[in-house]
Amino acid sequence: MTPVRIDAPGGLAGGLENTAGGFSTLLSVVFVIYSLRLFRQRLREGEIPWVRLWLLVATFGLAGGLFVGLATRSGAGASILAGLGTAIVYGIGGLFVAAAYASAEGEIREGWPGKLTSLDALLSGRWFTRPVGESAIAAAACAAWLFLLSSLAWRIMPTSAALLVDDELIRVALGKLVWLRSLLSLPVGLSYLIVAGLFMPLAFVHRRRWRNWRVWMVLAGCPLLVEAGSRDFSLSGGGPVMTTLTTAAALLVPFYLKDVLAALLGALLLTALHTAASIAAFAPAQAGSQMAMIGVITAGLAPMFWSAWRGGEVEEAEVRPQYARNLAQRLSLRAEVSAAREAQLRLIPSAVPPLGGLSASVCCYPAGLVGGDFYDFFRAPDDRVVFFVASGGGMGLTSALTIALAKGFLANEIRQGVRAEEALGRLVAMLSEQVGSAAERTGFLLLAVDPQTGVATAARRGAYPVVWTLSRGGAKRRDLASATTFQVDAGESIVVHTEGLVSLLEDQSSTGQEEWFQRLASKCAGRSAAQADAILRQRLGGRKQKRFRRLTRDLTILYLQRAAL
Amino acid sequence: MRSGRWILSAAALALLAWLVHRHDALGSGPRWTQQQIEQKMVESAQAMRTNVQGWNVAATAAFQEDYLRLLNRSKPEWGEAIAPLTYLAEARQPKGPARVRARFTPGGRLIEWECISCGRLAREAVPPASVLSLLADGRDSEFNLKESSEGDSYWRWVWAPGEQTGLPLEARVTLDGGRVRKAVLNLPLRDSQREALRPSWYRLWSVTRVTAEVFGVLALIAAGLIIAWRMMGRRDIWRLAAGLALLTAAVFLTALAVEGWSWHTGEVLRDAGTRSRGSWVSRFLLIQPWRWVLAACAGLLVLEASQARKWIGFGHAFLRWKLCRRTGEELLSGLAWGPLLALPAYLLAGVCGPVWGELSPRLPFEANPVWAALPRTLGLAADLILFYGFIWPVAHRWVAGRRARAVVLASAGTLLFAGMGHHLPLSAWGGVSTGLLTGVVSWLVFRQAGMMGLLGSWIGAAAAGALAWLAAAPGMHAAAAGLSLASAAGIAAGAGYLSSLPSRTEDADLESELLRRNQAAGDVLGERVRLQAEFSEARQAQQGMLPSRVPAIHGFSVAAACRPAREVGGDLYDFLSFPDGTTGFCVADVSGKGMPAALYMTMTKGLLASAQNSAGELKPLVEALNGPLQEAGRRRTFVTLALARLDPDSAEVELVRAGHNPPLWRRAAQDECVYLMPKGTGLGLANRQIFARTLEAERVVMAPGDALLLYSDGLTEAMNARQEQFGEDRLAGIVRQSDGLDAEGLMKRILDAVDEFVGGAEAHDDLTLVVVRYGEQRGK
Repeated sequence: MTPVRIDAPGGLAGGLENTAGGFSTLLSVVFVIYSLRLFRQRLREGEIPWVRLWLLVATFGLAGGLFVGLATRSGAGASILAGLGTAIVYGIGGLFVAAAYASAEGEIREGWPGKLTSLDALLSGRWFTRPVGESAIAAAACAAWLFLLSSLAWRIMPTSAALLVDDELIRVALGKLVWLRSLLSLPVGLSYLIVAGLFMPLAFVHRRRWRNWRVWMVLAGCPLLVEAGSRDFSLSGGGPVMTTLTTAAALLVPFYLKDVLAALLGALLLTALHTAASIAAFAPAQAGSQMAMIGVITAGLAPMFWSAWRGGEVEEAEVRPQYARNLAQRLSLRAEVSAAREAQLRLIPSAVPPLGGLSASVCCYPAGLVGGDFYDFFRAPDDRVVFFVASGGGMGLTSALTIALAKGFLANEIRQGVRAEEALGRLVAMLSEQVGSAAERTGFLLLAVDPQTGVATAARRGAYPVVWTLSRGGAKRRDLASATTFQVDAGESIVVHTEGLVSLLEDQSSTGQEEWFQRLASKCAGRSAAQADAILRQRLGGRKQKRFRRLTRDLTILYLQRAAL
Repeated sequence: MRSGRWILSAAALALLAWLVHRHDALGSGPRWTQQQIEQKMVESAQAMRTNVQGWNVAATAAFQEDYLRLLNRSKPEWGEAIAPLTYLAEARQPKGPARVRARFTPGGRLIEWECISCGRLAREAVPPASVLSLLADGRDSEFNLKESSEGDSYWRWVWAPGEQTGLPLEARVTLDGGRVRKAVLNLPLRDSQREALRPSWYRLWSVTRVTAEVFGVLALIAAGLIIAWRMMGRRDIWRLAAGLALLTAAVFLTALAVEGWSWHTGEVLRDAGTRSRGSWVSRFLLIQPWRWVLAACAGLLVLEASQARKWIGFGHAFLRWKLCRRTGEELLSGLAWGPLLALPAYLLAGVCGPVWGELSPRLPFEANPVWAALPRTLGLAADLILFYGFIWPVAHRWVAGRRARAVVLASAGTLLFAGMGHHLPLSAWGGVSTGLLTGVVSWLVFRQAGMMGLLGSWIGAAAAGALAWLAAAPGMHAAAAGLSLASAAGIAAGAGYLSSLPSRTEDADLESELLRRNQAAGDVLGERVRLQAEFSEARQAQQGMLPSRVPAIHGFSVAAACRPAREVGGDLYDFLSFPDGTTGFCVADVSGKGMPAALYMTMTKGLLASAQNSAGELKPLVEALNGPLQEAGRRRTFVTLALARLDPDSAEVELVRAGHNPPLWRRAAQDECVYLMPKGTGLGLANRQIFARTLEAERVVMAPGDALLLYSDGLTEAMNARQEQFGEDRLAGIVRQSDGLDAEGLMKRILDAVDEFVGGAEAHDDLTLVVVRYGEQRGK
């Protein structure tokens, strides 16, 4: 049995307890906020496990209420009232824990497929199946080894004199049914431990898409902190530290070796063993009650052990709940869109062709996974390069299809020497007939600039893309409806952009856009094309990732500068 | 109307000054100037044998409601010593920790003196009796010694007449080595005595205050939850928060710059050292701003069309960080309303005489009326923003019905302004009435000048208070009051200048932008639903790209179908009208499935649509397609294609096949099915030379009853649950047995057979079929 040595709290132990408690509380607050954000997203996707959520709240509330109610020694009525009040308080706490569970479960399904199969089987009534049994055995094996390890630590580490507590004191502290109260304390602590120590860290690293040492820092650090925050370090020596370490390990090891159910059962068993050992060490007369608690748990798990040998197989799809099917469908759609994005990127030219007296840079950021925007460079029979920029009108996949059609059509038309205006006219006629509203919302621009004379010819269909010329005198928006040809002097630049640029601006009115481009023109005056491009990107919001997050519409920007004389 | 408002404002200002002056004359005695307080401090220190010459002196005034009630009730003889208004002064050693704090009655009597951190200060000892004499103003014989500690470090005397009348006036002196550490003359009222002094409504008022505090906290929690729930990628919220925080910081930093630390000394003095400077600064700088920042941000997130107009000037200033005409107009309008906003409390107090004595006239007695008052009146600004910026839009969004909304808003407003207004003289119904009046005036401001007007009215109210103070007590803090007024005048001039600017910014744009962003935040669909909708739209668009009708060719019937395995597919069929009058039939299949294949399929469609206009022979046409597809596919995606051109006059068919399934030619007369297999590689797989070298064209002449089938591999490779393929033989068998059917009938029979063969198995590939039948056949 675990020996108990009690020192006066304080010193290193007190400091450690306070520090761990403080950080643990801070971690809980952070996780509450983080889980609320995730919960909102899952709610929108219809991926909230409502039954499990309310089950957790009820378990939390009932176990908490009974836990306190059993210890109240002042009259039956008062016990019921106290229990009810505590149940409500625990229920509210359970709401936060359950919300965190509900939001993180989907992340585990996404990031660690298959890790919830046995839990799904258990909760869908398939108790005696092989995955459930295997999880139970893995959990029991881990818990046993870890308990052995921590017990050895308690034995080996130097400790001071022990203080034994008499039976009456234990009854005062824990009530009459000590074994039941010990059992009731498990769901509350365990729910919090597994949600804050395993689910939330997993959700966090999955969202961050980390793949390095930080993953392990978070995954190992969180359960340690959560467990340390609730542990009493007033006992000196390495025992409590080892208990903390082994409890954290009881979450992580079964999870990685097996799955979530194994982690849950592993933590349950080890916590029960630790609790039983501690109480039995404090009050030897309670050893029997603690054995009873272990017996209850073992009796509950015994059929599961048996099912590892004789239980039937179960497929993930069979036990997958409806909300998880929504998740699977979403992931499948997302995978399809990702593949489409890859294909779309292959349609975009990989480099700007040689342009003579012009220098150009171009970028294209989709607001979603697949953007409707597009650009290309077509070579005309007279060897001129015609710039093609398309604005998808925020229609995602449909725009992508429409623009792919346009690319094929216009590439062939320009190659055959058809005038830009005429080619666009034919294209729009064809699209209107075949695609309908998507064609109306999609904008196309064909722009050719003669590097020698500076004469620019542009043809556009739709409100976007928009063409601006930047010079030392300022910026000017080109009205392509009235004039399709304009002069670009040496050193002047042309900026072509789609709707996404407007979505990045704080002031999206025409005045705001005008002011933004005037400032851009003044910043870019006298700069090289590369410098001007850098300025442009900087003004759009710094790093690429940051820009990407803020976009509500696809963004394509073509920056074209005619060389100074 | 505009000039009317200014006239009203001026009248309100005059009335305010008169009311403050009237109140001032109500028995509190003449005001002291800063110099007088400093002089008194030096004199008192000299009496205590402490030299504070050259120390920094700050002063404030403090008010004690219980004492006022006591005076009103009993008029005790020592009333002046327990005056409700007292002046506090604090002298700080320039380069040391020592501080001397003294409190005086308006008549100039010292009633409290304390030397803090004076351990190292060179001072002289003072006999306790002389200290008592100083506190008792020469009537020390009326005091009986009640207590003195060992070593003569503590002395306590009680005023003898008070012991009979129940007025426990006492004098206490604490010495440190004979030097005075603390001396105080006070009236230690017991709680029961205080309760007895308080009027019957006091409890109600306390409940109202607590309710209002709870309400305010709950409102802020609700605001926080709304922000957490709705603020997804809203950069404008950060700008708004930063703008308001900067405004708060600007107020405090200006106060610091003008007045130094003394601007908040009143606060420190009032709490008798329980709070440090740092705690006050952090409270005002770090905690106070969050009230209005949270409220405004949450309000912006729930804003609806009916309220957006009220946020235009405010939005330009704090969302776009632009000062424009609308902002100036609203600010100016708000400034004009300022005196009216400051007026209600004093008006009520002035008009309702009986109430007057019960009110705690805090505002005119504040420490520094100007720069101290401005940061303190942030409370008023925070309440205004909390109510109009958050509760107002929330009520408009979630409370249905005008009457219900009016009731909710009136109750919330009264509670908020009456209960939380530390800036107002409050007491029960007087406070509620004041709250109502403040609510009405602020509603007028909000209605006319929106959120920016409210901010303007806050500045106007502070400036009006300063002006009123100057009128009532010209000698007290005149410089600071002047600076305050000058600042307000500067802001007014700036607002006036902005109002004169041409309107360059589109107000309607901002309004619609606010609403659009809110709508976008509220209507964000889940990813799954959005992607499903996107795929559905893409499917419709792709289906739209397929020919809507088959070509009418004399002597021939044509039918076509395309079934994508997923929402969208990589198969394509098309009919081309060549310039020479011939008709082309095309079936293409892009490698892969789903959306990536669909992209290349539509591109191929575009290429074909353009190419048909100038085509001569089929072979160069198909060769022309290879280049763009090879460039786009980058050898990872390719397209197989079967293209047939039918001359209806001669019934001759020219056929090219770029790696596609061989077209099936049903020769009815010979009762045979022939798979036509001219050579050719897939489009996009090889360069121009290799592709051209391998591509062949084949010509056949159809006879009546013959049929030509172009199809994709999804037809012949359709699989059933046993993983068996439909196969070319099965296809040929069905065609052979369907000679009597026209193209439509034949196609239907083939598709039915495929469906029957596949059963319930999931489709693995897109299926496309084009059937051309020569001769008038019957339908099925």
